[in-house]
Amino acid sequence: MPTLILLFPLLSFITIGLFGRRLGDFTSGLINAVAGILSFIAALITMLNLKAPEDIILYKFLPVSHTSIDIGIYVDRLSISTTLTVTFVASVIFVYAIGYMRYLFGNWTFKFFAYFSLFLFSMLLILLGDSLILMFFGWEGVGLASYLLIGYFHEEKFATKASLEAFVMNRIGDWSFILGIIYTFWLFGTLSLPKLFENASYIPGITLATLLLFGGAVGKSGQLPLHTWLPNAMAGPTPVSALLHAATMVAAGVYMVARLYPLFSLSHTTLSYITITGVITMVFAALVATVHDDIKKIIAFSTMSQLAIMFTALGMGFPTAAMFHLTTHAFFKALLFLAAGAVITGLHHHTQNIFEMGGLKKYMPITFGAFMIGALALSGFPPFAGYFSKDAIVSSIMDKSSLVATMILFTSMLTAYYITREAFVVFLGQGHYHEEPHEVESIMTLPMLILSFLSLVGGFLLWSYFTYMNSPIEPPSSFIIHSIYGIIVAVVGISLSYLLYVKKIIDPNTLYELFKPIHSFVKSQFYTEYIYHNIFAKGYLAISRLVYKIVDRILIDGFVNGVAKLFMLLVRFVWEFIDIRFIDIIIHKLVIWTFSFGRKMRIIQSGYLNQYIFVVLIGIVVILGLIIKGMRL
Amino acid sequence: MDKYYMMLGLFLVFVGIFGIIIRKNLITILVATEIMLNGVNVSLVAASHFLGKVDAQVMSIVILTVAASEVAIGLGLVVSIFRLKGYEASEEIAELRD
Amino acid sequence: MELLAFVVIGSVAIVSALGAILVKSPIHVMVWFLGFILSIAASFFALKADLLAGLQLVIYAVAIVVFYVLVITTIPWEKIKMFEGFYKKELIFALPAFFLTIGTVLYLVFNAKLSNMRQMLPKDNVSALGTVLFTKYIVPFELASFILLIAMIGAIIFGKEKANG
Repeated sequence: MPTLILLFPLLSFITIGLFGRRLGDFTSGLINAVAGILSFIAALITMLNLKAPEDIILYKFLPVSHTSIDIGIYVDRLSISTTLTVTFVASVIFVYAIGYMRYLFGNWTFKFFAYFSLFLFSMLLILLGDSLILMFFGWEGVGLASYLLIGYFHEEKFATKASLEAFVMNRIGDWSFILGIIYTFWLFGTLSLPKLFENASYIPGITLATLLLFGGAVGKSGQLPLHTWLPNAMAGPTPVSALLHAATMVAAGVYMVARLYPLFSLSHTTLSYITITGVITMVFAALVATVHDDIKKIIAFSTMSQLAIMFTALGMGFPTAAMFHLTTHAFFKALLFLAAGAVITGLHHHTQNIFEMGGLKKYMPITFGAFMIGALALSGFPPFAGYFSKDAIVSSIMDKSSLVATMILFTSMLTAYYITREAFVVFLGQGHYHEEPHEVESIMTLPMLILSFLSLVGGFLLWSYFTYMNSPIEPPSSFIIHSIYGIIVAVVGISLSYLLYVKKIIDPNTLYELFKPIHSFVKSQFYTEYIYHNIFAKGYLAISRLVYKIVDRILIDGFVNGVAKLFMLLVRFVWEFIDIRFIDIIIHKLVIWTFSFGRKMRIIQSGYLNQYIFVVLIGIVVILGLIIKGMRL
Repeated sequence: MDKYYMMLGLFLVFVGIFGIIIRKNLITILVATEIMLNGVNVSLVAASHFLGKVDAQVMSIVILTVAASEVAIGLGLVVSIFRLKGYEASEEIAELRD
Repeated sequence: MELLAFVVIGSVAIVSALGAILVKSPIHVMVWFLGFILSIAASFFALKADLLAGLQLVIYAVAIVVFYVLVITTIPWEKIKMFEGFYKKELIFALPAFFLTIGTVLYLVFNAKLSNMRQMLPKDNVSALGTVLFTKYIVPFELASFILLIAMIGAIIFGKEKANG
């Protein structure tokens, strides 16, 4: 049964990839969605039947003496619960994608669904693979699929650039990840997860190994300093963003750290690095999100920020809280993206700038409701899902380090501010449109409703999830008391944006004029993107050009040309003096001699059978003579 | 005694070769190959006799089969050659060269 | 007794073989060849290979010789001058080589020590041969039948060409 989870998306990918043209775009989308749902059902059945961690080895690859790289599936509570979330959210997004991509049907849209299946398959490989090498395959597959999907509108320059950036940034992380895998293998002599967990004990090199592995997670989850691809990945269609941010790609980094937590927890240095990365990234991303004006990029930065919160929780030693936040985050982040996609569809794909929208509440009531639920869940407003998961993290960390907890609360306030700001600007107020916005069709609203429901009640699973994972959790009564700070910051953030953007106590434009330098500084992601693009990338190009001009053109080409000239001189000399005077004459003589010899030899080739047989007889005589000579008679 | 039969068989083989070398007549050449095959058969049967095993005779039977086939094909070829060259043709058969 | 039989059989075989390759007329060749076949069959009898002797008589003396005679009679020999006689040059060169070869081979065999594992051949040659043929050598036997089949097809094709021509 666990194999089936992986099998359905793979089959769907192969089917759509090979026969998508014949099947048609709608059928492809349907196959894709059905595969996702079947995979979800298989995951559910597996979860219900799961007693103890299971390692199902499908194939023994490269058996060398007594070790081998096994290809298998490792199912335990962590992997199967994450699989359940991922397959569920992915299926919902797959259904939504059929509606969203409707306007592109007929333009080889089946490719899109094939990539989707590949994406899900790769992600499931990360989740269920029983060895680091298999995880790495999934890791790369996710990178490939995201590259293909981000660059799906490959006729547009910014999309191809964004996909390339995502690929390169991920490559840096993957490079670190594979070095980490190699180093882990060197330390433990195995890559199989169950064996790694068995052998996990402190070894001097483990800090470096886990840091390298964490480097992969940084690249994949868009943490500082490898973050610039994540907002630019918004170039892809909105379902891609939803899938990327909610269920598959970015969750892989967090999941990987949680999966290998027995190793990570051995090194306090690594854990503190994770914490520092998380804290810096979450504040950074939240600040950037407060000033951005792209409907999707704001949500993208919020993803970055939320993932950083998860990493902080991991770094502080609360993997279960982090994984639970990942689950609820998948629900409401997917919901937010789907609602944003619905807004874009409702506006006929004209604009993504939130300040060009407004007053959409009366045109798109369902989308408005869904977006508000998502926004409130993200803000951590009770009783939405985000409240439980975020405050589980906060209340856990509070006892350990009040500084980190304060930073998370600060981030939460900013989060509440920017997401409600977006919601208020887009849905409330006044808007002027050339084309009347419309509510999206039911194939798109249904997934939003399902996710809204889960964002609304998903948080109450907190206690059952922690019990399922055998992790301690405080009872509901004390939890509510502990989470009072979380509620306060959420309320502060929401009321701040309400006052600014709905009541307009101070005109936002005046504020904008006042803080223009700071605004643009923050909006440019603290110049990181500028530095990456202009100093690293362009500097690299400039150096390459310089090297090309100086070394290649002058030194190497000059050397090669000089050698060529010398060689030509030598060749001419050889041709004039040796070739013509000696070799040609010799060859000529040789030809004449061969010709006359051949004419003489022709007599032997009489063509008479009996003469040939006679020669055979002579041969027999000779051989018999030799035999007699060698015989001991 | 087996030795003598062996020698007889070998002698016949060389008689056959000699015949192929000297004769012009295609039919006679075919007959000479038959003589060669029979010489080999005699040698084989002699070997079978002094080894006391019938295995060699099985090979003789196979040779008999091949000989029969060879006669069928060979004579067919001879007839075809005559038909192709014509009975009055005066030049010799030296196809292997030309 | 055996030696006597050998002398008789051997001399007949040698004389008839030489006659077969040396006489001029194709029909006379066939007559000498028939004598040769009979002598070979006799030598098989002498070597206690009864079945082979019988097969020799049936296949050669009846089938093959008759086939030769049939073909010979269809060819107008009086028209064909080019097949008459011998290659003189080759005869001169081949004769010494022939004697040399015969000499060396006979010398070889005469001085050779034959295997010492003397066993008596089974009394019932036919059943012994049949048993071996259909168990141990079934594959060569089947292959032989296949060769015969192919030869038959080939002969039919040649004959058909002639009919068309």
